[in-house]
Amino acid sequence: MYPGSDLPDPITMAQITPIDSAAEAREQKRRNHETALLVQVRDHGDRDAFEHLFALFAPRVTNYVPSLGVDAEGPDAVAQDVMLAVWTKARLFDADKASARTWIYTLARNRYIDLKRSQQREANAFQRLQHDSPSAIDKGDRAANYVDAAAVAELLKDVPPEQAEVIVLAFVEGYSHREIAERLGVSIGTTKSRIRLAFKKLRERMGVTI
Amino acid sequence: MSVNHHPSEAWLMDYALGNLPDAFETILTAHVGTCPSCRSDVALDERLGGEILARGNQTHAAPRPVDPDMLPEVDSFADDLPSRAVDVGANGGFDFFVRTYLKCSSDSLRWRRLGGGLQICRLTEEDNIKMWLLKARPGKVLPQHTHEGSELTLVLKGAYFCGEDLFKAGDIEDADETTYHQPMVTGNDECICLAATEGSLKFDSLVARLAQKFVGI
Repeated sequence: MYPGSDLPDPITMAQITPIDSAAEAREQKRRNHETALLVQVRDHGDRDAFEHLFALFAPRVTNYVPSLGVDAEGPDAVAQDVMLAVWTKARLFDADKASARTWIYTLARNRYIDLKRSQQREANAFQRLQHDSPSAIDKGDRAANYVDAAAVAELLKDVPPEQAEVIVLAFVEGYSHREIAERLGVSIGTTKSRIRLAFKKLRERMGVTI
Repeated sequence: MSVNHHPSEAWLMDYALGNLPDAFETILTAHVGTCPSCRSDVALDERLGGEILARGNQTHAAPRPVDPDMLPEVDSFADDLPSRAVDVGANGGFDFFVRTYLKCSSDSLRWRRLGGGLQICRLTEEDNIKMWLLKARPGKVLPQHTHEGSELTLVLKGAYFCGEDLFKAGDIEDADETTYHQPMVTGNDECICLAATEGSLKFDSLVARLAQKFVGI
């Protein structure tokens, strides 16, 4: 029902290989270090700690934020915005709920979604002025272009494949649950139920390791 | 105000990820604005989205130095939550809703009378999704119908029953092509709802189908 039927093939779980546990441990150590830096920023307004965080995350966020099209702020400006928010909102950081890395990427993703949606609205308003039909939400910039499937698979390793598939389609490929149902040829009820069950598992995991 | 009917996790996930057309986005923004439990679910979905990016985005570009000029003074710390779901406090009523989410004044809404104590106001239509307001007098029974796709209804004022389920201000009814329902307004107040409907409604009765041609819902 939603436009955009020229959809590329989604990542399938079979294409994905797991990460070894030594690499996972190294990652965890890096995360702990980043989180300690953000706690310093939060509790003491520590500029040195922020400088470190900036050096670590500004390039990654710049890489994630793709070109936003005509009249948009460039990825660099968006990354600056996001990092500024890390500084100004640091006191809202709760290390029990998320690692610094997850928290910063959440800010980046939300900032990007807001920009994308506001651009889409402007483009649609312009098209209406030109008496054209407004276009659907642009799927050309989905996260699939930026994320490494193997790393995502690790997060989804305890989730049954048919449930993991809907999570990848939504979180990585940028499809709504209605589009996922149409894409997989299953009912809307089945899709909702797979999402519900996948979240149940993921939430248990989110609480402890992320 | 206690909310009893919430959007499903699938809708909240779509909302958190910004994957929805504007009409559904507007309804969910209004609901989560007054619903702490859905805000908390959205925040969790956002963290999961952040985590997936954090795991997946394995770039090792050369770090850039921080620009000391961009850091504001500590006393300018923002106090809003870093979430797409913004807390607007308690439900501020119909006029507040129209001002905040439809970005207009309630006086400027163009209502059409359908007879029998029913009025509608069409707002937008984009990508085959219509957003519209419905106002019905106390005791009004709407024609039985189903849908061609998804439909979200947010109760703004008053209350209605669908079967045994009571929907009050702040509640969301989540319907689709498998839902077959006949809302009935209850209580002494008129009931006003905002709906986003994919495709058209499919009515049982001939009279309702004829009326539908005139109002285009």
